[in-house]
Amino acid sequence: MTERAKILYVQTNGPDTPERLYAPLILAQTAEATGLEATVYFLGLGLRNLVRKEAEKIKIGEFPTLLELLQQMAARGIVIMACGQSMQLFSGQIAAEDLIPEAKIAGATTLNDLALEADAVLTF
Amino acid sequence: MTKNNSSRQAVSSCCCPFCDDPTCPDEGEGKYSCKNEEKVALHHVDCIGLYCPVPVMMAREEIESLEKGKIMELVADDPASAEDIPRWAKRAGHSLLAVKKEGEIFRFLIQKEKEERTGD
Repeated sequence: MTERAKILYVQTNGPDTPERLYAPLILAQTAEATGLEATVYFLGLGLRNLVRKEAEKIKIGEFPTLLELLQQMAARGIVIMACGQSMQLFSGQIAAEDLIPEAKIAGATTLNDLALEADAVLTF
Repeated sequence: MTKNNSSRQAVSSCCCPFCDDPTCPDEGEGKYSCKNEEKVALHHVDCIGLYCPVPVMMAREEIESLEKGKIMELVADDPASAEDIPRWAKRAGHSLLAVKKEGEIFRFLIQKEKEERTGD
């Protein structure tokens, strides 16, 4: 079996700029639909996209809510990763339990490794 | 590796929590009754309370002090270590023998395979 090409999206934007949040998620779904192996890594302010209570409030135009989009992605096998250390940025306001259960917590080693493994990396 | 239900004869071999001996009296929490503990030669690295990237940095420093073939046991409660440590081990060229989750604590067994500092 041929190994699928890998594409990594890194999201650093947070809910304060909702118009910047959808692009990597739409791209990841498109990548998966075209046979690529897609991973979205949420880093820094981007981690807040994975806070369930925040994600369910974000909705732009005709797009689904951010939460619905994240759940669709996970159901399609797109890997969602959360930078564990980024939780420290929010002074204890975000705990692992606040994140959507589909998110896998990872660290710096994993992000570097994913970037080296990927055939392309897009950062938002 | 996990314990299985095979009908293997009782042996007085490794009794660490990662062995596949069904007769092993797993005492948990890092306590071993293993009679061959010296043979297993676990080098214990405690990363409890330490967060990314410190467990990976400690793993790299500590494994350098070991001879090739020796086994390092690293315990960490940083949830990121579940992804980070196996990836570090693979890239550094060492063998991840086992991972065990005990509550919030991850226990990794890593065998030193290379002498070089880097994974290339």
